[in-house]
Amino acid sequence: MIKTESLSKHFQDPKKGWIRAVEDVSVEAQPGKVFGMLGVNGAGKTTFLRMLSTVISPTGGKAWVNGFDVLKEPERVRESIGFLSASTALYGRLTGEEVLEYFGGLFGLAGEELHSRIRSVSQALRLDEFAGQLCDKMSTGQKQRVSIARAILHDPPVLFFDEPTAGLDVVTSQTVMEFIESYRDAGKTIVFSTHIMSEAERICDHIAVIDQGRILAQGSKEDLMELTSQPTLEKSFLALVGYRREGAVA
Amino acid sequence: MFRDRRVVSGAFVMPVFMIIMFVTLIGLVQEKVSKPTKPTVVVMGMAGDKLAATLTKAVSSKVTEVKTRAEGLAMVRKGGAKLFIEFPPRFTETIAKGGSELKVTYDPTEPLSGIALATVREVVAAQNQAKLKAILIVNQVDPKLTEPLKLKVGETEQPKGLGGSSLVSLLPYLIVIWAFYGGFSIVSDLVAGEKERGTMETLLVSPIKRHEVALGKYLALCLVSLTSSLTSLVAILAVGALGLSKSAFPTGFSISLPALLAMLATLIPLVGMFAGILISVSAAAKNMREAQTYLTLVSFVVVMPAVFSQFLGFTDMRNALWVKWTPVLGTSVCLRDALLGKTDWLALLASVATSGLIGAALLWVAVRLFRKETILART
Repeated sequence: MIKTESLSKHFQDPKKGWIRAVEDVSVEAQPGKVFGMLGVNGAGKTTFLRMLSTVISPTGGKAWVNGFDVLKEPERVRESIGFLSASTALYGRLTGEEVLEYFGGLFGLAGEELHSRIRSVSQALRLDEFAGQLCDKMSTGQKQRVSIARAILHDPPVLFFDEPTAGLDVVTSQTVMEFIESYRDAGKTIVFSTHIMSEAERICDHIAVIDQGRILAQGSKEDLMELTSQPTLEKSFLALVGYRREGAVA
Repeated sequence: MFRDRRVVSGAFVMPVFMIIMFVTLIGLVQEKVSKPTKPTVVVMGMAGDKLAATLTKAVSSKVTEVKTRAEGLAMVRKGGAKLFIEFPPRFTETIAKGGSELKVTYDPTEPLSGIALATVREVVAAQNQAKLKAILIVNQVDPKLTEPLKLKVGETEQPKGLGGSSLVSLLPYLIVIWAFYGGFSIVSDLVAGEKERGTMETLLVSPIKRHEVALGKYLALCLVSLTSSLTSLVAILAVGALGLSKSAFPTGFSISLPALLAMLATLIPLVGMFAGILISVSAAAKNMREAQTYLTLVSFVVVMPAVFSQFLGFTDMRNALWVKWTPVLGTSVCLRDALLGKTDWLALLASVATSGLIGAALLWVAVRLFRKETILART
């Protein structure tokens, strides 16, 4: 489970002054559900996920991941999570199998346990045919499948997906979405950030619309449509973002 | 490690190539220098004068005669000849009367021209000496009186091995340079490159702590730098042991085990210091290009003391305390001493302490940079 209370992140930019990348975000994500963060580019989705994964520290508020405080127990938090984004990459001079061995080692897996997990994820993600290739020689889709395998190798209870289908073709995107669904069904807590409405509609049980670092509204797809009196999630999203940007909502 | 061409090139191929190239070139130069070279001399006014011919022959066997002064000067100016000798008319006769003048023109920018001039000076001095002796004998005076003081030159006993090699000052420089450039070849990729590609984020979301990531990269860098430096040392040993360049090592080649251990003791902290500099600069950079720009600038500062060590022999500063405590410079001096088999243990201690302390401080800086959020991506 994930819980945040008034989580904030402010950066100081030498030219622009203080930037409120995430402001006062309070959300909860439950096991067996996909929690969606829906927002345009630069809305604060990645900063929010990076705070939850303890890569950056909040400047205000609190957050717990799998019961661990992100500020007080960052190593325990990282042991509990798998993180995948479109911008994360693989080591080009390692083979897919070596990448998994390396990251498995970083997560404390070793010996038979490590190789058993590698076999298991390789089978689930159909990596066998190219796992021995150097990552530099793999296609984008193959790389993304290895990246997923890397993220789930230690069988984390919590998974963060930061726009995981960005730049992928339809077939690979489908593989990623199917994988997320299967992991949700296995009872994992999943946070999924995206700006693609169809993906959010398909996969998210609970959606938080974020814009300029603030949560504008959250609930199920139906809740958001009802709140904005719009027939589709896309129109609801546009209504929320547009409405706020016109200055009607503080 | 061997899949990365930059590592293979920086840690193995280039150090071996550079050492072989330097040793061969220096050997070639040494061989040329050890054999007296006869420069081409242009003369005017010899005109069958026997004494003039004998004098000219003593200077060089390559002689060209010209008729005009302008012709002779032009040949020296253009490099066709190294020296222009103008004999006065009736040379032998004027010498017999005393007060004859031999006019010589040389090119001060040409080393061989200077050597030819020195030969002429010797020949003229010998001629004057012979003339004086003849006069003394005629006047029944002991000719030994012309040389009341004789100079006897001796050399200090050199340890066997590299003592007689002109490479002894250059080799420490090469070993130090490769300790730096071995790490230099990979460091921008190791930190700034990971930032740029996004692999840094995958590392940082693993349970390992930031200081462990920094330390892991620091040690990897130390390993590559040390390998590169040791490869250049092994290449020197191999070239010497296989006798590939006998003229580069005219008095043979040998390094004792204590000397090797002394070299290793001074190299390890130096490598640690270099790794600290490299990783800190790379961690502070936004991307690979920025890292390479900063690292190139830093390399000039780092390499400067090693270059300076080449010129220490021309000064009386070699034993100065500040030389021993100056990073890189002190190490170069220690390496030279070790190669000559006369390790100064105090200087070695100073070099180890200086490099070790600076290396530790820079590692602390690197860890601080890894703990910053900018390590993820600096915007």
